[in-house]
Amino acid sequence: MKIRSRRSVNRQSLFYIFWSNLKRDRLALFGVILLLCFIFIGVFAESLAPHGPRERHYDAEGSIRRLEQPSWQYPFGTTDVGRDIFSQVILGTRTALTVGFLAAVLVTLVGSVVGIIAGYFGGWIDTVLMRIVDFFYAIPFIPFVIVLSAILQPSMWNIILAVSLLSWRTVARIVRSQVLSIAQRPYIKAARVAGAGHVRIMARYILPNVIPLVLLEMAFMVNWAIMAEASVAFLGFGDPRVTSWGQILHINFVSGYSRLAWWWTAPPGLAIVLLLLSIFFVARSLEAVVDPRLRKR
Amino acid sequence: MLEVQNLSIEYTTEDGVLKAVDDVSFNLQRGESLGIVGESGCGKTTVAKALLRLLPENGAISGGRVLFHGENLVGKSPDHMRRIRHSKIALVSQSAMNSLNPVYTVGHQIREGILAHSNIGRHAAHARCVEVFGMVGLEEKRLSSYPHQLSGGMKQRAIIAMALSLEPDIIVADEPTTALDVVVQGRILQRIRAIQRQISTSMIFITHDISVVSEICERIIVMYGGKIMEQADSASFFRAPYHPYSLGLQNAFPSITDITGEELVSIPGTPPNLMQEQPGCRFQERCPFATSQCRSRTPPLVKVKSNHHAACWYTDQVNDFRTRARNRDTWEAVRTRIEQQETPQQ
Repeated sequence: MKIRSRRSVNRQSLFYIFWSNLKRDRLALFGVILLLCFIFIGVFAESLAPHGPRERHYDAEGSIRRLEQPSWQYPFGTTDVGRDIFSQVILGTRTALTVGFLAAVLVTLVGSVVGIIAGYFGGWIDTVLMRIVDFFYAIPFIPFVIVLSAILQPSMWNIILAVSLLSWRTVARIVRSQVLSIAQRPYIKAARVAGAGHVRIMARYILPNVIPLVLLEMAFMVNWAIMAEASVAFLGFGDPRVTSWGQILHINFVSGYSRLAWWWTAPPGLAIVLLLLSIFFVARSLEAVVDPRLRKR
Repeated sequence: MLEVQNLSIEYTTEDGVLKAVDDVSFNLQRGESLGIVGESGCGKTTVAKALLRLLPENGAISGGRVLFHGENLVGKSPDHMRRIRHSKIALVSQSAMNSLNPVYTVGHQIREGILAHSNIGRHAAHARCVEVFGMVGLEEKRLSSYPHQLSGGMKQRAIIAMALSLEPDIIVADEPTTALDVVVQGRILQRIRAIQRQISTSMIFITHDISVVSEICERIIVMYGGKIMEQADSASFFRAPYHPYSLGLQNAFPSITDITGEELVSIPGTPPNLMQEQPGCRFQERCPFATSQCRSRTPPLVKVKSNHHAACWYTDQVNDFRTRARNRDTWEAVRTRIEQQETPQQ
């Protein structure tokens, strides 16, 4: 009984630390609230968006509502072909979050597995894995995506794939360098002497030591993936069937009204900035929770 | 309980083979505490590691036996050693303070060791943690502290608690207090001594600090250049050592009761290079009383009194040696002798 209660207290205390961190760290609180808003919007995007993304709107006289300024009916105004920008931005949230989180999870998973294996085993395994990493470092991102979307079809999944293929290398390298030093610590040697297997050592003793680093990298990767998706879509290589912030900006740019219709440019741009900011602040406070050394006593 | 017979250990290095320990024998009774002293590089840590078969990859036991409860540990399978380590023979290592994993609580780490080496359940393991923490004088709530939340002394005590957790027959403590300040060191030593008596476990205490041995060990082994120079009851040794090296060591440490205001007398010279063949006594180069016999033949460890052995050809002249060893000039003569040997004749 005693142990059980102690452990539940411990688990609570981790949550408690995150909570009390939020109280102290205003930016983290801001980040969490903002991110929760984005997630809420992303999840319920279809119900929240008042109109379809490609729906054209006409006024009473039957003419298209071209480039209308923000109004109660159309909070972010309309595009040059009379589409509701507000709905597009809402729907774009889902795309940004999906691409960001999926790509980041994939990237950190692959990157940290490769990094831990390379750093722990060392020797030729390390050499081979790191040369593969070097190979991926040599590939430039935008041309790679262009070629990839030429070979495959331009779709959201291919962007996730492209981002994942080209950014696990960074995580792998950073994790490896940390593991190199951790693998030589006395407690790892002790575990090895005590007969712990490779998998146990890597999962139970090394991984917790690199988790803060991995989490931080993951947050950066979410941000990077969202940025990458936006850039690719802005260049016109995105999925034409899926509304995304990059795509809104692309159409805006192509239409030639980017300098005139501020209500068309600003909302998706601001949305990108705010989402990236919120994730960064949350990541920073998460790091303090996961790493006991960063905790303020 | 533990019998070390003619143990020799070699390290293979890029420059050749280094004989770190040569023909070392001793035994340890239940409940006894044995101190191994010697200066850096004399092989004391190597002996400790060899007992647990924890030598680095380039080190190997080249001869001798380590009998633990009559079983020879040399040549046992790694699996067998694993069962003995920690549960039967526990090690408090030199870098104990850095051996804790920073991302788990101290309690978690001690419990993990208990669970890995015994069949008891989580509750019993936790109870045991509380018990050993009490023994080393740490509060129960400290079990849920992370290593960085503990002071150096507390970490060291946690490590000692970990060593005690499975009631080992032998605790091998390799300089467990060297990283601590003198006050904390003294407190921990007293604690170790009290626990050792309380649970009547045996202990091998390895240190370069001869005064520590006088405080907590019943028997002492003085090592030099990989060999045992003198082995005796602590009381007998500190009253009257026999080996010239021990006489020199006695001079080199300050005595509280005998403050003369004089400078301490150190032993001139450096330990021998163990990469080279050592024909005679290991200490002959720095010994003020060395003769040609010392240079050519290695003296055996001979009994000089009951429970007192020394490896010197001239144990019969010890009274004369003692008087002369107290004189600073005796050692200064050695210094000039070594300097003369080092500067080539012109």
